[in-house]
Amino acid sequence: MFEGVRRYLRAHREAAVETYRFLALRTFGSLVVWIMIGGALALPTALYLASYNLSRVQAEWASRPALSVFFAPGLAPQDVEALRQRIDTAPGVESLVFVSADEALRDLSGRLALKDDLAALGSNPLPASVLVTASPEANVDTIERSLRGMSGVDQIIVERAWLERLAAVSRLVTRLSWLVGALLALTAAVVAGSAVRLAIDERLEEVLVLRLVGATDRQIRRPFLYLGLWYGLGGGLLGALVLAEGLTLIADSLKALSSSYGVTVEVGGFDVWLVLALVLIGATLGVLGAAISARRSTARAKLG
Amino acid sequence: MIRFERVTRRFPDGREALQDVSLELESASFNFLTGHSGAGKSTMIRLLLGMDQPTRGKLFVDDEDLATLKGRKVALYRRGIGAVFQEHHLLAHRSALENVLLPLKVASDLRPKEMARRARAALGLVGLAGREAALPVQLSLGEQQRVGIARALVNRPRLLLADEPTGNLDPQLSSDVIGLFRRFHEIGTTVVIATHDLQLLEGFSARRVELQAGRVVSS
Repeated sequence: MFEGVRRYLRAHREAAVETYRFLALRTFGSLVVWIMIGGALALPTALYLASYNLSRVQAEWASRPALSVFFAPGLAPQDVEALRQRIDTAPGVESLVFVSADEALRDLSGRLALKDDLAALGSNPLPASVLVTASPEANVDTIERSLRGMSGVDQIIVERAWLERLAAVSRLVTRLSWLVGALLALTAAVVAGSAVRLAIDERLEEVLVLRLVGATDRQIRRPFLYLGLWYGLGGGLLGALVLAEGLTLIADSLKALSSSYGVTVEVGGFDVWLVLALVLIGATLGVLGAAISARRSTARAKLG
Repeated sequence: MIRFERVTRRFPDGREALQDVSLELESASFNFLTGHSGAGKSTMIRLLLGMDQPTRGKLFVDDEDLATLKGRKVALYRRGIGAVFQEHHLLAHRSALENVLLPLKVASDLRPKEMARRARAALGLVGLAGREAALPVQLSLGEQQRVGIARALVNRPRLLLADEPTGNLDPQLSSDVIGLFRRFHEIGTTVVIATHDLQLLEGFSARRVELQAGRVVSS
């Protein structure tokens, strides 16, 4: 029994080594296959990463919603200060940023270059406001109701719209990554299968001789399955490498962009488990494509 | 024992390579199939090897109906057969030793060292000791043929089938090869050699089955 297991393992080792050598002797051709499989794996993974990170950002911001509270125009400075303090101590409010009417005017005139027109108004039409950040455990609707009941509060805007848009984009990217993933997984399997079919055509004489000396179909197909495995493993590794390089390239730009929105976004999700998953998926697709191709192609190679 | 029971093999173009052939070949016997080109010798070899199936009739080897063998069973059946062809079917990118090792790797439980020892011995038997590392392209046609013979014999088959095995060999080597087949016959291997070279039969006491246009005319 042990001898049988040893023989089985030896046959696998020989097939693995032999096919590795076969690939090593065809570096350029192998590289082309690896690039194609790697690209097919990297694209949906990039979409997955985008979706994962959008969800992360969304979850982080959604758990800390913001409300813009506009004070009634014409409130006396002491009333403004009293209202600011009441809001600051209201339940569920974690922090707030106060913007006085003068600051709002300065900001607006600076942004829109309307300095002269606004000066012509004679008085400041803008109200003071506070930007409230809710504590993570608070219910934003409860806070809104409690603030709306305070005298001196004119208008409250809960900043949900952009979060909803972000969620919609995230959902779209997730679905897109599944769709593209399915299509490109099929492509990767077909690429591996085609490469294996070419290898079988190249070694048709060997297939025939193996049949002649009594090799079973499983024995005949084994080296070609390993060929698919190497193609898939190489493609998966190359895909991971491309993603790592791509993420390094966009890291600075992403940081700058997110900073302009007052947040710090760092790409997450690309870790050793993702690399491992990518390599395993590549290997599985490679073996799957090779198995289908080897079954069809070796069946054609009949003696006589 | 090999038994052909009213075997006919008709090709898609309507030509009948074998017509109603009934024949018995004893186990451990030494047999020549003779006849002109197209007589049906190669077809009989191919049927015995499981490369082809009779259109009609039955073919038994050791009471096993070859028509019932499918898939893995065909492969296992072939492991007990050594086959030699005029076209040697060697793998060009493998050395003589590696070519001879193939049947052992496929079917044997031996350890790698023992396999290599046996493959070297088989090459020695056909006069190719010292040529183990040579690729087929580095060997003469006769040497290539002998590598093919070593490959057929290395697994000590119970049935040795040869289709014009001496086609590429000079008379002396041809005689040596048949002598080699004889030695395997002496240890119990059934040998069936298809040849049109009647000179090959001289000096050998063997059963001769003569075919003509797909029929057995004498046996």
